[in-house]
Amino acid sequence: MNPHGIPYLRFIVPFIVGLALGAWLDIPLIGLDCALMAGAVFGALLAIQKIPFRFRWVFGAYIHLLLLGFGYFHIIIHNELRQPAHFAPNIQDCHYFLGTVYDAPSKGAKMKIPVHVEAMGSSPDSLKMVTGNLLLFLDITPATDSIRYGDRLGFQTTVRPTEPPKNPYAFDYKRYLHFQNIHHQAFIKPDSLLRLSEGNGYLLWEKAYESREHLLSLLQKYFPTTDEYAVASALLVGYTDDLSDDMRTAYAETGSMHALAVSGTHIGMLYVGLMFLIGRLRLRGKKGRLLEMALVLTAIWAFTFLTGATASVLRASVMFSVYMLGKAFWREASAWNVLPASAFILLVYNPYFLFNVGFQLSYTAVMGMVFFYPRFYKMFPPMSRWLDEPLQVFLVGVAAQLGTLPLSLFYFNQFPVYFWLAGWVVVFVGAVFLWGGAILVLLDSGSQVLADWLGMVLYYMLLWMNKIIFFIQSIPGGVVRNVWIPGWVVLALYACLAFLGAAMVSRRGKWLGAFVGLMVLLGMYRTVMVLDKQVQRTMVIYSVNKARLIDFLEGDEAVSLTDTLSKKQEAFAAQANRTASGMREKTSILFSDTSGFSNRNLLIRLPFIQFFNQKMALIDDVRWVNKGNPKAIAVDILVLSKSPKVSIAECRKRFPCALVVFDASNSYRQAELWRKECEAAGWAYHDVRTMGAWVGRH
Amino acid sequence: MKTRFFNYLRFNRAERNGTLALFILAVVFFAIPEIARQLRTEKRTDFVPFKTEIQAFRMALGNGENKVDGSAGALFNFDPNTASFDDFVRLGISEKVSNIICNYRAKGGDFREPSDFQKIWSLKKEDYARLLPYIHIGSAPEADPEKTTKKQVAEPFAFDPNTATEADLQRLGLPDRTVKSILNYRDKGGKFRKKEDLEKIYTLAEVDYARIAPFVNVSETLASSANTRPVAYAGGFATPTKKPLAKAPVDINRAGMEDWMTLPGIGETRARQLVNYREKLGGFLSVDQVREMFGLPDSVFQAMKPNLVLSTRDLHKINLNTASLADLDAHPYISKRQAELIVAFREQHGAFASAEDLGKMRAFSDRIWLAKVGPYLGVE
Repeated sequence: MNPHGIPYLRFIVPFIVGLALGAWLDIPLIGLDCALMAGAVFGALLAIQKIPFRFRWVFGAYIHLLLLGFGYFHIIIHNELRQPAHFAPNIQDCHYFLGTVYDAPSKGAKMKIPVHVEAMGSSPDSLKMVTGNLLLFLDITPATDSIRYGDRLGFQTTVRPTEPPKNPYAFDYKRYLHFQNIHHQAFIKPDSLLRLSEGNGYLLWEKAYESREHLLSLLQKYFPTTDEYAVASALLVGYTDDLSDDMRTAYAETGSMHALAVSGTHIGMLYVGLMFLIGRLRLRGKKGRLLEMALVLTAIWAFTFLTGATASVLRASVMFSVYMLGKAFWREASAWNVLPASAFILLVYNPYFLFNVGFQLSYTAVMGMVFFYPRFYKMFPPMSRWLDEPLQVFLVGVAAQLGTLPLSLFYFNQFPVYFWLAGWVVVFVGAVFLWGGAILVLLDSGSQVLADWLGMVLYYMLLWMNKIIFFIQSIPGGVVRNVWIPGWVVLALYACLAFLGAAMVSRRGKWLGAFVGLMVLLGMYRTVMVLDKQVQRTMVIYSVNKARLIDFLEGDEAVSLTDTLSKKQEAFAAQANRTASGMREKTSILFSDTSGFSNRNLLIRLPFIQFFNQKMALIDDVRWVNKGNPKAIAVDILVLSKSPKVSIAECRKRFPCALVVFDASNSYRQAELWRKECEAAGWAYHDVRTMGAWVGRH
Repeated sequence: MKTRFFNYLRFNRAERNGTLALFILAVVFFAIPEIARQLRTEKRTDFVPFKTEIQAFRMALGNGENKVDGSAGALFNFDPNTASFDDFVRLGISEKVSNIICNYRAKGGDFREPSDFQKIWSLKKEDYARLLPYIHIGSAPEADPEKTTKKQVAEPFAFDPNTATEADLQRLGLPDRTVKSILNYRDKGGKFRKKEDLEKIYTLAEVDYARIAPFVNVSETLASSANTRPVAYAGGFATPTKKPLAKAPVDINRAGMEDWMTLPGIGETRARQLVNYREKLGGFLSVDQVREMFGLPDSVFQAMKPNLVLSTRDLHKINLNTASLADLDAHPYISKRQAELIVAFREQHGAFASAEDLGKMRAFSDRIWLAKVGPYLGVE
């Protein structure tokens, strides 16, 4: 590919490297801002100089360096913690807060409300002005349910920094919130919250959220059943809070989740429909082209704001707008120039987008489509329209899936095999529904009879789409599960794709060789990892609130000793680690099953366990420590759970041990007592609740 | 044709080299991990030393030996009313549950029939099923050893349970408790029409019944008289009521306080509560709903159940679109939170089109609850 004519692709690479470096190191360099300023001026001077040809590269190298520095600086100052008046240093003694809701609250098990803190103090009378973002967790009640964007809230609470995950490889909510620029959270009781005033936000956003709520209530009217309403609101407005877990799983396992999170797919369908309609207008000439563009842009941005302007839709709209503007003004503009340009704009606006899964998937999908789709399509002979259109949808899906494959393996640990089958359904229904929904909204204020009819048609369409999706999910072999790849393999896989692309473009053997070679290397790496996992002997005491869960992993077979846990609880704590460690088979044993268990290398005779040569005692009851007068049993690890009222000294007398572990089933108070005792006596301990899961490898 | 076939199967040098590479890749990627999995060393950890230690530990803690090897415990005949803590543990019941059984007895609880053993709530189903055949309830638990001896020597003789005196019954070797039960039953108008009727006496142990059954001699007149229905007696022997039993069935949707009070176990307070409850509910749909009233013991409900009838199902419905928060909350089936949600939903989305609309709200997706509360809701 010729690098000339696509400057933005060349700009964005050092910029992204700078951003990634800044996010990784997170060290503010003193004077970097002044240096960058001076550097920019110098760069401008350099640009207008006449440079001898053999030194032309100097300018390019300079620009790369400058962009790298700019990216680094940009992501570091973006962190809200670096605001001078941030509340973070004083959260210990301040419990009264004043803040404004700056984004639409979301609903899960609890209400989550993001707030810009404006003032705080140790009493309601001594508030000081501060800044900073805070995520509030509230019970869902009619009062909290009505909190909106722009409300000013007064509340009393204890603010805590967000917590890192407690279990190995578990979802890192702290990191997720970090890239939303939120670093603190607080739980609030409904009676310690006051709504002081409304309408303190920007009018545009307030109107956007209002319009979204209006649309949602309209949808509720025409789509009476829970599942169909949830899908309708996701398809039209991108509101996914109401989707049930089953629906989420079904759509994820059929590879059609992108249709439910309003994003590029939607804007794309909107764009195709608009172009079709506008094409009928037969606008000619330069004026015609401008008018056409103005119409499309207006429609897209109207759609964006009417549906509440969620981050993903906004990003997709920016992407399409820049794309269209580029195409309108420079007909020969390459997608490889326009796409990076739009990414550049978005990353300057918010550098944290770079770490947003939606952003990454959007751009990799679009890049996959732009590159692979035309090349795949060329391979087929021309055919009739009835075959051609499904073929196009299929090939676009394959191209997008290819572009996102490494990332989706990394994030979701699975690959939906029948994505193309579901693709036909969701693309067709999605497009029809998008336009049908728009007409429905218009009709609702016009003819009620027609609106009812259209609502009925759309309702049955969604009903059948859900049925089909569930059917596709039920086809055996639909999902390749438990794929686990480390981060650098994602980069290596993209390098493979790049080599493949280069081979397709240049038709040179060396690129194909590079592709095959890298794939072989990755395959060997996999083989080594699989072999390595055959010999692992790991014991993990997970952190599950108020419950016990211990995995003994030998090779790829695990024995899991647990309390009665819900599937969700267990998966939340352990699934990621089990996937990462390549577990294939699992035997579950309940703590309440006193009959014990043994296999080749694991013996469970509660309260004793031996795993290879590691001996453990699990003390969950005072009687193990107080009753009778048995001979002491030396163990390697002593696990205390369920808050038995014993002291560590007593335990150690009966069970001399090298390490004491308190798991997350203990009360905070009891764990705190033990911790102090251990620290005073200098005994080794591990508190699962505060220090995270205990992992033993031997 | 033949040459073509063989020509098809022929690979040239370059092709053979390529195939070799394919073989190597296949082995590296797929075969090695599988082979390694099969060849994994079958190492066995020696658990014997630790097992011995554990055994010793359990012995020292006492009564642990049954659980050491995880066997389900020994089986032998036992009487849950007299068996010791250690007996239960030896039967394979956990110490915790054994303790519960002992506590239950200490507080005056007893087991009158083998199936009563299920009353121990924490006893595992498997344990119950396993032990059931070995439960032998000798006598009512109050009987002290002296009386037990007396019973054993007692000589049965022919008797009529409708006329036998207290002394007669005692001579038959029945425990005092049972004797009292029989007398009470007769006092309240109970009659024994055939010998099987004796089984209705709850405190009469099966062994005792089996022993005296052949000697029961019910007088002819009583046995043939079918016109006098036996008065329902289900109040349990502990019910202290001395009240005459309701002769007429009580219509639960019409009954006033006085009507309710004719029932066993219902005094003024409960009668008032029942009337209030019906008011709040909006009328009963079935007799079993009476049981749901808070504070009404099941024994009392069972006692009065045969006398309850339901004539009309004329319900007072709550209008979902007009009822206030307090109205909704007052209904026994609707919690405060649910009432709040209904009101909030109404305010946000306008009137309900039908009571079934409720089921579409996520908070009300409990079908059982919906079916229960549904008949009481309307929209008009």
